[in-house]
Amino acid sequence: MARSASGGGGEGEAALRAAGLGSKAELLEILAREDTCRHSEATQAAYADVEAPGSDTDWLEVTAAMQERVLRESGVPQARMAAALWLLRSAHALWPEDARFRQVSCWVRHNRARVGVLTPGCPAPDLRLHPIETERGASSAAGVFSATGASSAAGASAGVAAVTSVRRVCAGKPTLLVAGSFT
Amino acid sequence: MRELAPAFASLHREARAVGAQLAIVYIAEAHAADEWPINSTRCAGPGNSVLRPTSLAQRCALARRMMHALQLQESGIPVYADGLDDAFLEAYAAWPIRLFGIDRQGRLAQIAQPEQGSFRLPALREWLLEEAAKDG
Repeated sequence: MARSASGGGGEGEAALRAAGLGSKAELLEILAREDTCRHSEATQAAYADVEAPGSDTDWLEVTAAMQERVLRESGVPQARMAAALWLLRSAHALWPEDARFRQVSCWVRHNRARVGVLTPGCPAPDLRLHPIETERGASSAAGVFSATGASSAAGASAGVAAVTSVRRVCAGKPTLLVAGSFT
Repeated sequence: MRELAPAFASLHREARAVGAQLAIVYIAEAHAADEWPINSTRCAGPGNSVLRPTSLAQRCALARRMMHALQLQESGIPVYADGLDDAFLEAYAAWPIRLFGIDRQGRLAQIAQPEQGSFRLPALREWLLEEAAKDG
């Protein structure tokens, strides 16, 4: 991970020179173009073509090719491409005090990945969860109460999300808890 | 999730038979179309129209939609939604995907980290079944 280029010099300036870019402003313009290109129909169509059965490429390769194209169209010569790609992907870490680098790219703005502080052996934090009804019925009816104190069924019919907790969900059973989303 | 989901139903059946379980917690979207869109098969799939939910009702509806998309709606796997405050996500550093093994005493026995973009489910299955075999 890149460290801060404090005082406008240091690692950030060296990375700019290695990439052949003249300034942070120029880099910000390229990052903005990269973000626009990332959202474009062409890039989204390219994403849609990968990872299907029979495809041996993934979205990360599509992204890498798109970034290289943006840099090339911005005048970066092939000889400096590796340095420029590293700079493009590290800008928010090279200048952590500069909010523009955290805002310009959606993949930085919305990246919530962290190592976290939990370690094996520590108590599982007991957080509030909302049971979801599926075709097989509501999840973990035992110990479920609605946000208003009504029963789970009454809460659901009133449009109130029922509430339970990690501890109630596990209920003393060995549990593999999978956290994820649709996308 | 799409890569892992096909194994979830059978693992849950296997776990339930020995007094263990698999449960899913639906957390903030990884690649919502209005945030960080990716149309790849591994993410939302072509034509990704999943938007960031702005209410708990929307989040719960998306959790149901996810179970349908993953063909897990009839699996019997219990599914829960994190609150809109993302308290679970934050406490567990669970974004975008994390798997946790919780033992009978409520301790985190396994915190699975991705390796080359995926998780080693066989090792987690082995842990789950071994844990279930221990005296309650």
